[in-house]
Amino acid sequence: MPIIDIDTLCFRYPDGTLGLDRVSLGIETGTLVVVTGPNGSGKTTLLKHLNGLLRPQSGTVRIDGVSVARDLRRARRLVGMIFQDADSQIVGETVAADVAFGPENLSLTAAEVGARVEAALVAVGLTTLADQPTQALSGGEKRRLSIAGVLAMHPQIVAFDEPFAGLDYPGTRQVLSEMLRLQEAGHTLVVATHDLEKIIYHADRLIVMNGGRVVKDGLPAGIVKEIESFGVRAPCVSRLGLEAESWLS
Amino acid sequence: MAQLNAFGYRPGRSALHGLDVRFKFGALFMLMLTAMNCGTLPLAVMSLISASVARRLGLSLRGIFAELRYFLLLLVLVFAARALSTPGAPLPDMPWLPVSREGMQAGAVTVWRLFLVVFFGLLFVATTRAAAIKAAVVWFLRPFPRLPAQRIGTMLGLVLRFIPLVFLQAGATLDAQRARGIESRRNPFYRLTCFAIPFLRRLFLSADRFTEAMEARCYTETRTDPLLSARPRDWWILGGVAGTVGLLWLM
Repeated sequence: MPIIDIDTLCFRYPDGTLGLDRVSLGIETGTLVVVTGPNGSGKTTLLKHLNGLLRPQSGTVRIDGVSVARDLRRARRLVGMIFQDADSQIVGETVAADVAFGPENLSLTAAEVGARVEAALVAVGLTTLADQPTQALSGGEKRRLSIAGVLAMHPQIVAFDEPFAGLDYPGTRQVLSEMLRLQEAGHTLVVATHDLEKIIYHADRLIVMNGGRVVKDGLPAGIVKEIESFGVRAPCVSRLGLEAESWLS
Repeated sequence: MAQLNAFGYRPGRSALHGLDVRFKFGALFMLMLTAMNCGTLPLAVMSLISASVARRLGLSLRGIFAELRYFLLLLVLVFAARALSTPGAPLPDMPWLPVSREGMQAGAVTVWRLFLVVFFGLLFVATTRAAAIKAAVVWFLRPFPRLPAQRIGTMLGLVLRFIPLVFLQAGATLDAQRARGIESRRNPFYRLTCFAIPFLRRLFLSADRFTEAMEARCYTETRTDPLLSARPRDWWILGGVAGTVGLLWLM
């Protein structure tokens, strides 16, 4: 059974804009799935349905067999969401306080919260910055802090919305290596991005969206050749007819 | 990298940071009450002490004045109102000015008091996490069963958390407008309109994103709050503040 099971999902924004149009998908545990498409294609809208930030007008989203609508709190615990704008995701005054935010919302004991914060900070390499104010972090550090904040909630799935936006080369590499570490640890990753260059080498599956619909779904190598017809720039290596290469190599 | 502003929490290990937030509330209340009722000598003593505390916390006095500039404008109005409305002897050098010597003295003291009260609040916010303030508010409201303590505490905590973000947004909007030559326009109404519309739009968008991020991390009013525990040191500090305030009342 797929860990994410989406069945004929439809969503329209209050102003009438079509967000999603009969989207059906199944995503297996432990895979790294890239969702791509031009601006307004429905990538972020789809991610926001995974943990109930948006509710479908019709269709269902099931996480590990249970409908998101039936148990919202469970869905939000199981699906960690890393937003495009790291600044608006950071709610704590210090690095440690921000990581503690999620576990505190789960009403865990103070000792358990402390243990989870420590483990999450170790996982993303931010232990030395634990007492630093969050405004003082660099872009890459903020993105890693967002990951730590989500990790502390012990999710099974981590959804990334444009994880490389605004990051320099070292920042991109840091975030990418965190993502791969999460996958190695058994998490399922769903990455929404139009910047395929940085992630395509590591993707197990590529889903292309356009106008709120899934227009292509399959192995990246097969789809990437025709990706530009959907308004997404193909990675340089693909345009040059070369083999894809990891940004970490 | 965003700059820290004076209205947010500044992590640290000072005695003020370590003081139990309930005791800090008590001390703040006593100090504010004293500031609003005492004469100029106690005001001078409290100003000196609070300025040195701010310096020790790493807060720049110049930065605080810069960020309080609109509040200072309000204080100028308060001063003018007191100076103009208080009866008394006219100024010997400027008899044509419709203000009295007593009015100017009263205005100066009122402005000093108000500024000091705001300054105390600023020191409090700079040394106290929003979550701790929420926990203390809930604790103080617990004896009143009809009041939704959790909700009130949550609202206060969120407001305090939002204040630095509002200043950051305002700064970013102002910078963007300066970059496009807004300073060459003299009409204050035009400048205010140009500033307010993008600022408010940006602010509401940020608030929406912030709310979404909190929801995504299971935000609830009944979350685990910081543990509040009174230690002997807290009692000593509160006693010290009470003693100092007592002395100031006697001055």
